[in-house]
Parts: sequence; structure tokens; C-alpha cells
Amino acid sequence: MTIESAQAGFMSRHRTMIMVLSLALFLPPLAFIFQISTGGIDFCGTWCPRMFYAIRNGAGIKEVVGGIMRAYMGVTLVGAAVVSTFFLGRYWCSHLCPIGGAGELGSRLVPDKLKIDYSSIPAAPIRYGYMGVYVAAPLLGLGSLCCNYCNFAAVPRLFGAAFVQADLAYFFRAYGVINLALFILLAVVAKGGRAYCNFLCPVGALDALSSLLGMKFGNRMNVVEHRCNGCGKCIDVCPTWAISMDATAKIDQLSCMPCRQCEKACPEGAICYGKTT
Amino acid sequence: MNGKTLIIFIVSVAFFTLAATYRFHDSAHAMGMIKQGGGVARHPALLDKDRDSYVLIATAAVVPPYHGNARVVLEGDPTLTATFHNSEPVVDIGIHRHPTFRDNTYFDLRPRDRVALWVKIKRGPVTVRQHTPVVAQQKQAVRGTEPVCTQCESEGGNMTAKSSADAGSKWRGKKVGSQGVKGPAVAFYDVATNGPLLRIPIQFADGAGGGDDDH
Repeated sequence: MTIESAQAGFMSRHRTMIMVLSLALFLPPLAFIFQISTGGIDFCGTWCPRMFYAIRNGAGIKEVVGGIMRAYMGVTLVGAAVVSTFFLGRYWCSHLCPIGGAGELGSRLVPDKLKIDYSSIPAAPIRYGYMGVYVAAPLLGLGSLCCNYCNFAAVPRLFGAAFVQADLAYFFRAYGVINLALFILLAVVAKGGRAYCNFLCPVGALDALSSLLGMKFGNRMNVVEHRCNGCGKCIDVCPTWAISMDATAKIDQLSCMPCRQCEKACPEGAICYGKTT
Repeated sequence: MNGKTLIIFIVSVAFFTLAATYRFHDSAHAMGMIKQGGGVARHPALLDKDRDSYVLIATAAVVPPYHGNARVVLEGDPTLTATFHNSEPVVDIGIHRHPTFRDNTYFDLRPRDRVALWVKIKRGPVTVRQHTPVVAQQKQAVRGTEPVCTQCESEGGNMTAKSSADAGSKWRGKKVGSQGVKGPAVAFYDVATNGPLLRIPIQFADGAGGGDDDH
């Protein structure tokens, strides 16, 4: 395997700043992105990135197209994320997603000794078990995971609850409490802050598939095997437990998002972001 | 795929299927259209009858040519107490217009506006007699309690009802349930004419479960 090594670029050096900026742009109190574009205030409605692929039982082409048209900004957002991931890796998830960013930034405020380490649980089978039910349940008329367990609804309302009664009302019901608990347990107090992204985000699941499918064509995190001494420091810092160790480190492109923590942690310079050929 | 992965996948599918199928009925989301003469909700809001408090999320688009101010009430049996909270920007940077909401009234609704209303509902101290339309107690001040219609859609769809109270009853009677019981509903009325704009019926079920109503 040859790798075109890349210097730690802007996205790597300023990741925290980009995540904070994303929170400021997408979440209350300003929700600037929504206000300047469609006049919305959150991810619900026009910007919904989840509902258009949760198709109801009996829905015809007209309903499916109608759902896509109603959430056209959300569809555009997911489309852009998936296409960019194909070529560049999951930068949407690692840097730009305000929901994942909120969890990770929140987890940095929690002492390490209080954090839960989910890395012993394989993420991919849970993620795609969730994704399968997410798509199949409404199609089969069994029910839906879409709005009831929506991270894109819960996190913005968590930020808005201090200001707006409607956002606060979201948490006065079972689903609000469950979503809050999921966000706290799988993000804020999770080691790395990304267990929610890794297990339960359908946008992340689509993005991960794109990452895997585009592995041969685009830039990804790669291990230079002859440099790796197997120290395992990369495993300790990976928020999505995407790295395993045989003789050398192996990166699972289905779970990896290029946060580049492993690159910074590697004492041998054996991990870098670049093209795999 | 190794055995452990397969087992985790199967367990995940089973668990999330249960999560998708089971529904907590302390809250519901109803979508509708605010329409001159009376818009309709896509489906009734289904809530568990054994609870004391609920949250109902009502989202609605304004269908042209309606524009005006719309009062929101929770009406019907049993007696329920409601507080209404409009979903609005924390800091409105003023690029797009939003209808304002105060005193349980939307001001300056215009065609194609979308509103999202959070209704916190509590059961009242007593259950009043059935088959009598009663407007619920409102925590916030409203302009009158009994919605009065000067023009309402009759059973045949024509705008014929003249008597205001009769018109309101007729309209409500038509929209609520198949057995003609005038159950509770979140209703929108035009402030100027008292004409109905939207009625979202609330149905109380025996228990939680069943996940096939909305997303």
C-alpha cells in the first residue's frame, strides 16, 4: 500500500474551532444557517436530514417525492455530506455536524473517570441493525424510529430550552427524556463523545457506507504499516473505536471519521490522511 | 461476518424493532392545514387516557388565500388544561418574517406560513358530561372561550350555517370521531370572523403501544 502523505491541514489544526463555529451556526440561540436560508429555526421541516428515507407503508412515488421536496435542504445537506465523504472521508461527521460536535465538545467537559467506554461493543452491527429497522419499520407499517428518537431534534432543543418554552416542552414527555438520556449516555459521558454517532445516527450510517465505498477513490486515514510499532496510542484516542491492532494498527473505514486524533497521537508518524492506492 | 457480529446485529434489529413498534402515548404529533372554512389534520392525536399530562405538537401550513390572526383553543370533553408555546427563533435576526404568537393567538398569518405549536395538556379536576362541546380552561388569557362561528362548513361542505353556536357545534360534530362524540381537540379560529381554520382531534387510547400513527 502506498500512501500520499498529507500535512496536518487547516481542518486538522482547527477542528475544535470548526466544531464550535458549527454549533454557533446551526444551533440556538442564533441558528443562523436556518434563519438566513429558509427562515426555519432548526433541523425539523425543510432541513430535516432524516425523514426523507423513512418511507411509510403504502406511500407512492408522489408521497416519496413530496417528502423529498418538503425537506429539500435536508436532502441537499445529506447528499453533499455523502458525496464529499466519498472523496474526502467523513468530514461532515468529524468536523461539521453540530449534533456530533455538541456531544464531543460536551464530553470534553466531563472528567475522564466519569466517562463510559463503549469500545468493547462492535459499532457496525448495531449501527446497521438500527439503520435496517429505521428504513424497514415504516415501510412494513410497524412503526418508526424517525422523529421519536431523533438526535437532530433533541440537541437543538436542548440548546434552545433555556430560552424558548416550546423547546423546553420537548423534554416534558417520554421521548424527550429518552432522547436526553441517550445524548447524555452516548455522547456527553461517552469516552470520545461519539458513541451516539457510531451507534444511532442514520446520517452517520449513510456517511459511513459512502466512506467504505469510496475508500479506493478518495482520501482516508491510513496506516503506514512499516512505521507502526503497535504501541496502541492511536486506539486510546480514537473516538469511534475504529482502530484495531494486529501486528500493526488497522483502521475500519466504516467507522473512521477523520478527526485525526490518531495522527496526532502516533509517535512514529505512522498514521496520516491521504489517498490510498 | 463472524458469529459475534451476527448475534449483535440480530439483537440490535430485535431491540430497535421493539423501539419502533412501541409508542409512548404521553405525546403526539399532528400535522394539519390552516385553511379558511376549516382545514383538516392528517390524523388525530392519539394519547394514553391514563396519564395526567401530555404534550401535543401541532404543525400546520397556512393554505392560500387565508391570512389573518388565528386564535388557538383546546376544546371539548373531557375538561383539559392547556398551555400553548409557539416554536420560534431564540434570536430572530429578521431576515424572514415569522408570525408572532401571544395570548394564544397567532398574529399576521400569511399564505404558506408554517407554524409549530407545542401544547402542554393537563387533565382537569373533573370530567364534564359527554356530548357537550366545552372549551377547556386556558392558563393564558384568551379572547372568549366558546368559539363562535359565523360561517362554518356544513355536512355537505357548503357554507350555510348561520347560527353561530349551531355552526360551531355542527362543524365540531362533523370532525370528531366516527361515533359523533365531541372529544377534545386543538382548534384554530380566525379572530375576525370566528370561522374555523383547523381542528386537530385528540383521541384517548387505553394504553401505550402501537407505533403506526406518525413519525
